[in-house]
This record gives sequence, structure tokens and C-alpha cells, in this order.
Amino acid sequence: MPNAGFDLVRKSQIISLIAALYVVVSQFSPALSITPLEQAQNDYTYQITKYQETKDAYQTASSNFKTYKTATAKNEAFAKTKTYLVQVKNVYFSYINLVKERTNSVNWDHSAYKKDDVTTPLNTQIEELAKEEKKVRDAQTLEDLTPVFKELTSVIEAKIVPQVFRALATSDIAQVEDLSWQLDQNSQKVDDYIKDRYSQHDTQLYLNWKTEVGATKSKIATNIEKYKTTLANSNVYTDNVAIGTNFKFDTSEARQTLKSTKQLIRELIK
Amino acid sequence: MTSEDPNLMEGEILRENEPIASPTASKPTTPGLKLPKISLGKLKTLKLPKLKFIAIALFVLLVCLLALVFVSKRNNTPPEVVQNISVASPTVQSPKPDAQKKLEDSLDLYDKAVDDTTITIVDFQAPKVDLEPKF
Repeated sequence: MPNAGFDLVRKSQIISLIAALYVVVSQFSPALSITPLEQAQNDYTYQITKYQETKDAYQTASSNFKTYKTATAKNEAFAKTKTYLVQVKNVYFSYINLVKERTNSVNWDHSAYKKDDVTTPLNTQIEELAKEEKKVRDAQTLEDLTPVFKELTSVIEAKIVPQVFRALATSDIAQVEDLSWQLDQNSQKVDDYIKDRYSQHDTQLYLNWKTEVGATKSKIATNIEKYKTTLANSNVYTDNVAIGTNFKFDTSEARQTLKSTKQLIRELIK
Repeated sequence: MTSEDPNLMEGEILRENEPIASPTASKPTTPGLKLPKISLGKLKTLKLPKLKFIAIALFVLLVCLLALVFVSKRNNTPPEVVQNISVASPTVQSPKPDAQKKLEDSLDLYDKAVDDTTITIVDFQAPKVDLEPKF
């Protein structure tokens, strides 16, 4: 049985190796277990950094061309402008993906909205960007690129940003709706629990608690309706849209109220 | 077959094929015990598994040490300053009823859901890009 001992040795080697791998992997697990939203955020940040680099190169090449007006300078300006425009597309591509991941991070089961209603237009914008990129790559001269600047501006301002706004605002409302649903469920659970032990509690305290919970739920429901009306009445192509400034849509009031409910629903089970 | 041998002690019998001991060699302590002849090659093959075992043991030890170092690093959080130390009641606390435990677990999940919703539309501002042709 000489192989039995050898097998044992080999097995112990494999087990040791697996143990070592487990230790190493577990150390890096936080890095490996980032959420898709975080991954999308990382990709977007990377594209923004790359955008700055290509922008610097594009500006230098354009400046050289304006100064020297040589064929070489023009070729350089053409190449750098192409790279720059492709990078603009990459930035918006990663931005749309980030917004899509935001919509994926929300539970839509308890919302009046449907996730597909906001993600489908975003996918259409990705296709629009791909078309613009093709135009950039197909351009043969510097002059061919001039209209692409205008078209890209139009796609971004008139289509992408409004659709992104709509997706983000709807996601915010859906998230508040989900939390409101969770509040309903949990306050009912607390109520059921208290009812069983009703004799142990002061009747007035219990009634006050019920009134307070009811008023909070009502306040959140009113907030949700207000947000829905705001979104429905806003023309997403002209209003509430601003590039580089704050979106004019805010669900913070409902979120603050929801934060206070953490204490409220626990009050009678302390 | 036996034969007379001057080196044989009284009553000792030389077995067939047994090498005849030289007069200078020390005698075996146990009568009739046959000492195995081991060549150098055989000696090597005998030692190798032992060496391998030692190497494996050392490797396992190293892995365990590494694991200990990693785990201790991971748990190396500064000790919290304990404030308001309360003396435990001598009475044994009764375990929480299942219903209360379930409810508290559910409320903990709710707390987490509320805390996790800090990200809103304001965190997704559109990027600023320069789309003015520079030529």
C-alpha cells in the first residue's frame, strides 16, 4: 500500500492549498463583492478621468492646428477630435448604465410604475449614442466632424438627460413607495403583537401610537401623490432638466418622515 | 545442513545460507536474529517519504500561521471604550419569546431598508462635456 501514504500527502497538500486560497480570497472579498451599482459608478468615474485626458489632447491639437495651419497639425487635430468625441460617447454610455443600475437597485414590486417603462427609453438612448459613434468613426476629414458635435449635443440635451431624469425621478418615487409598503407591513406586525399583550399596556398609550402611525403613513402617502403629480406634469424634455446642476426633483421630505418611523414603530415593544 | 564452526558458541547452530560472521565482528545479542542488509539506495527510498511528510507539515503550519495573521489583522479593531458599565442583575434573564424575536428581526430589516435609501436623484448629476467645436 505505498500509494495510500502518498495519496494522503497529496490530499493534505490540496487541502492546504484550498485553505490558503480561502484565506487570501476572504481578505479580498470586499473588493470582489461590490454591487453592480458600485461597479457602474467605478466605470463611470474611470470614463470621466479618461475624458479629461482626451479633452486635454484634443484642445492642444486644435490649438496647434489654429496656430500653424499645417497638414500635419490638421491630421493630428482630426485624430484627437475623433478620440475626444468617442470618449464623450463613452462618458454618456457609462452614465446611462449607471442610471440603469440605479433603477435595478430599487424594488418595483410595490410601485405603480414599471421598471421597463424607464429602462426601455434608456436602452434606446444607448442605441442613439452608438449611431453617433459610428458617424465619428466613419468621418474622413476634420470638417466631417463638425456636424457630429451638434448632433451629439442634441442627443444629450434633448433625449438622454430628459430620459435619465425621468428614470431617476421614477426610481426615487418607487423606492419611497416600497418603503411605505414596508412601513405598512411592519406597523401591522407590531400592532398584532401589541394586541396579544393589550392588557399589559396602557390603553391611551396604544391609541396614541396608532394615531401617530396612521398620521405618518398618511403624510407619506400625500408626499408620494405630490411627487407623482410633479413628475406627470413636468415636461421631461424642457423642465426639471439641468446638465451639471441639481435636478429639480426632491423626495427628501418623505425620506425624512420614513427615517422617523424607525423609532416610532418600536415605541411600544421596548 | 549444519557444520562445525569454531566461532559458534555452544548449542548455536549455523543456518543454511547464513553469512558466516568474521571473528572480529560483534555477535548478535539475540541468538538466531537475522539483521537485514540495507543498501544505500534502499536507505534513500526509506528517508524520502519522511522528508516529504516534514515538508508538508511545515507547509500546513505556514498556511495556518498566514491564516492566523490575516484573521488577527482583520479583527484588529481598536477596543471600544466601555462606558456606563452596568452590573449584571443576578437574576437570570428569560429568553425572548419567538414572536418578539421574529418581530425585532423584521424591524431590523426595515431599519436597514430605510438607511439604505440615502442615494437619490441628486447623486446622479449628468456629466458636463464640452461640445463646442474648437476649430
